[in-house]
Amino acid sequence: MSEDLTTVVTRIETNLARVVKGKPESIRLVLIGLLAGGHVLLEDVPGTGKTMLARSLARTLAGEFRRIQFTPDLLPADITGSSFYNPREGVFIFREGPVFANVVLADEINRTSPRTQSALLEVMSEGQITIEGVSRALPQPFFIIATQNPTDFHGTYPLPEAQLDRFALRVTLGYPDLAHEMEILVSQKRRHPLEDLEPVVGPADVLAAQERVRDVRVDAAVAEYLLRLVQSTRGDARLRLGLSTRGSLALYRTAQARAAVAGRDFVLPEDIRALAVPVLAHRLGLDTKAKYGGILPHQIIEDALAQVPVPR
Amino acid sequence: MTSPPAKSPRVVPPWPATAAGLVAMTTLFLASGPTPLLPLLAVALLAVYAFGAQFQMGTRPVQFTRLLLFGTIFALRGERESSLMDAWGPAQSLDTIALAAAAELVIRAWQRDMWGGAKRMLLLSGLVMLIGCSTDNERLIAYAAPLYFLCVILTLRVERARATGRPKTPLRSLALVGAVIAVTLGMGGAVTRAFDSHKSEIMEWGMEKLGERARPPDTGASVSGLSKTPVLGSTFNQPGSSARLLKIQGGLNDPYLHQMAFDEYHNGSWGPDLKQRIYGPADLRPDAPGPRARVTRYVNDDGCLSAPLSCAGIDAGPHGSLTWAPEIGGPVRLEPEDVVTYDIVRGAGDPNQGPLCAPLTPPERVRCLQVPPEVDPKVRALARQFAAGNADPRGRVEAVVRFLMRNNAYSLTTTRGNGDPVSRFILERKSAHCEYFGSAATILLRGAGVPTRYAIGYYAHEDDGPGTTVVRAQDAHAWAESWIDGIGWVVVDATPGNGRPNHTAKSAWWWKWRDRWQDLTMAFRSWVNGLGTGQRLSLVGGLGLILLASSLLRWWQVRRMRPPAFAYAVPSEALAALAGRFEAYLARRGRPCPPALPWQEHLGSADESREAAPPVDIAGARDFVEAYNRARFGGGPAALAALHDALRQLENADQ
Repeated sequence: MSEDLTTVVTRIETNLARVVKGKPESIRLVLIGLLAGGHVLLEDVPGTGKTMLARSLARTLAGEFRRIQFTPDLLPADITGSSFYNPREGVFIFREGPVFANVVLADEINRTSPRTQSALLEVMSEGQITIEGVSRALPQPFFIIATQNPTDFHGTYPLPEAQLDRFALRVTLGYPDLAHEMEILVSQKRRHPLEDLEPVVGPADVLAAQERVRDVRVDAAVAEYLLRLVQSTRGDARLRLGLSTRGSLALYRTAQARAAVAGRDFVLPEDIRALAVPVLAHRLGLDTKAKYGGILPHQIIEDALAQVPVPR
Repeated sequence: MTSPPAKSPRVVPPWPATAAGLVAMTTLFLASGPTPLLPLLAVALLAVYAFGAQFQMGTRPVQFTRLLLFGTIFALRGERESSLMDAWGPAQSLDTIALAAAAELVIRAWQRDMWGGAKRMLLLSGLVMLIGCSTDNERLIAYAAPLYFLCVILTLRVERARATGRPKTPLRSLALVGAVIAVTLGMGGAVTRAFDSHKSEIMEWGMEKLGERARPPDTGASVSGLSKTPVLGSTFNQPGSSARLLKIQGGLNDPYLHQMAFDEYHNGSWGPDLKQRIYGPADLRPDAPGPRARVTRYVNDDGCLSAPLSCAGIDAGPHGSLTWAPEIGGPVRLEPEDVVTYDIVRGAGDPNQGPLCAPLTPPERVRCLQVPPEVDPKVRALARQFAAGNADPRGRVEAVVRFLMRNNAYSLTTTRGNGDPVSRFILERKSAHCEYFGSAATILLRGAGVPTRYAIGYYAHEDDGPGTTVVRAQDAHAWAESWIDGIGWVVVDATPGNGRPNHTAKSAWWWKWRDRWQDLTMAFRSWVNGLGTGQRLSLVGGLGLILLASSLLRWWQVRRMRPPAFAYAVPSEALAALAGRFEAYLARRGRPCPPALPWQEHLGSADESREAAPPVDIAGARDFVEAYNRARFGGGPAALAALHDALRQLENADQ
């Protein structure tokens, strides 16, 4: 595999590890999401470092970074931008919203009403905004990293399925173990290591890496395996909503990214299996009976993984 | 339904929940008598650990199993009882409920997702335990209750660990073990003590709510509310059970339903009892003309019939046979037990001397005029006064009734005292219940020269729809019957109006629903009984076929939805051959790779098993797999020669 890609990845990961300690798998998943050209949802209980990871990633990538803090009174125009009338010149001028950036941190995305969240739908899937009939393209690379607490906590709205489907990956962090939490305490004693982070890659590097990822070979048998996995969920009686083609595409792209990050130029079934739960679990809509019977979405994915034969 | 995943472990309920279920079932077994169902259920419960839980709750096989088990329980419970009517009495209903709960417990133990299932098992086993503890065997409760609570505590410990994700508190420390044992023994002891000391209250409450458990008829207050050997005591038929005894459809013109009479008084008790009577075949004019009322009996009560004294005929139908002891005023007995209905032909005219009013024989006349010696002479004197004041026996009857009603009040409880209770009652003007009034009327009228006997039966007053009357055990009543020359037998009720069952009997709104349920189950059972063996077999067979057909249909539907088997396209046969040889190598070395697992992951798990000498050369296999993957999925020319060499190395090491 090209050295450039692995160099880029290593540089980013080392930089991030200075702030987010003890979570190499989560960092790698976020990077896979970035390289696959998708968006990442960080979901976990409060205080585990989601916003920290997002901000660190934003600082690591030179480029424009904007942050949207989602509050219950946020309006769609606060996200996309709006036109306002300039009386002196007599014209409407469009003021760009915070979403016009390379890296957008959508913090606490589930604390705002679904009406506001719907403003992100076109943004996330097509990379453009249409306001008042005019479509404006967003800058490239465009990466949204969102954070949220799981929906059981107070004051949150569940994300609409359409929006969940537009996130390539859902990553959880979890609590650090004893050694790493000790490191965190020590490293933040005087100042936060985030303040010392410098950018290590630029937007052009990221775009080149994304281009490289698309060249990774996916054998027909591996693609068939991917599709059979996805399709096995569509008939499941426990699901109200199965996996969409967007899900298949996301899995395809992220599997390519994972193979690229591992230094391979071809995708293996192992890549697909490793990414199945982070990429697919959040897209599933459980039937009421299954949900209250205690079945979790990742169990359904694991069932599918255990049943569909792997190509040899 | 998807088949169970290849890798997930066998799901079984936590062992303390199973132990609690077994303890409860054993208690029920020992308390309510041997039935083959309970050991079978226990075996089925233990079989979970051998086979692992497979069923998804709410699916068709589970419903089918439930239907099968419950149907078997209800059918077998009904068959087991000797008397058709007792099968659905309150006591047997409790046991049936307990058996059904035990069956549901076993079904829940077999469910695939045990999320919260252990708690449901605890609830069900608690119900079984509670019903099993409603027994006189205190020793059983004393042993079973602490054991059960121990199992409950251990189950809750497991469930708490599962719910919070934290590991179970280890039972290693002596203090913790001691505390658990102390708590369970304490709770078990408290439960046993509570049952023991408040047993009478609990029994009373239970009897009030459900009607009495069937007791042998020799004890004082039987399930019918009437004792066949009446003894004047401090209470009568307390607490009066609301269990339904009779339903009379077709109109009743006489509320006094006579069951049997007594003519020998001795020191507060009336005789002769049932065994001393001489029964003969009865011709009670079943074909008498006149309007008929159909009586349905729900309790056997030694086969004794109740009917108005003035009825014109009793018809037991083609299956029933009647016998009776005419000389002492009955009782009429209806056999066999499963004949539950008989007709009463209503008498016209008042008083109608129907077949139940057998003429007074001379020995009977002597007995019915005899005032026993223990009765106080003042009572005799009083009786003679009544005779002197009224030449007509009817007048004497009226005078006695007026006297008793005016001078004595009705009371549910009284004190018997020393000496002859009837004399005390009359002379001291005590308040007492209907037995005293009836006995006093009998003795006074005998002393006044009117042949009188003491009768027991029911006072029918409760309407249940147009033309239908319901008689419950609490409607039991006692009165006197006098023979008036020229008329015959007449009912003489000296109990004041506020003491008759239409005033003293309680009523609750839900009894009607209980009665409806009883009617439904009886109708169902009699229908089932009425079926011949061939019909029964065909019914069961038909139901079984329907269920089988629907299960097959469902299975076929599921199979159709399952994706058909397929095979991935392989670019070259050489690679496919290599893959086959590698898999054969793995199988030979005892580590066959499941079809849903890639080789690398499979080797990784084999590595993790940390065996001292793994049968497969992990490193060599890994190298082969890496090279193979590159050849297979990587595109470009495949380095087949290198692969061949690597594989041959592995196979050579094999030998």
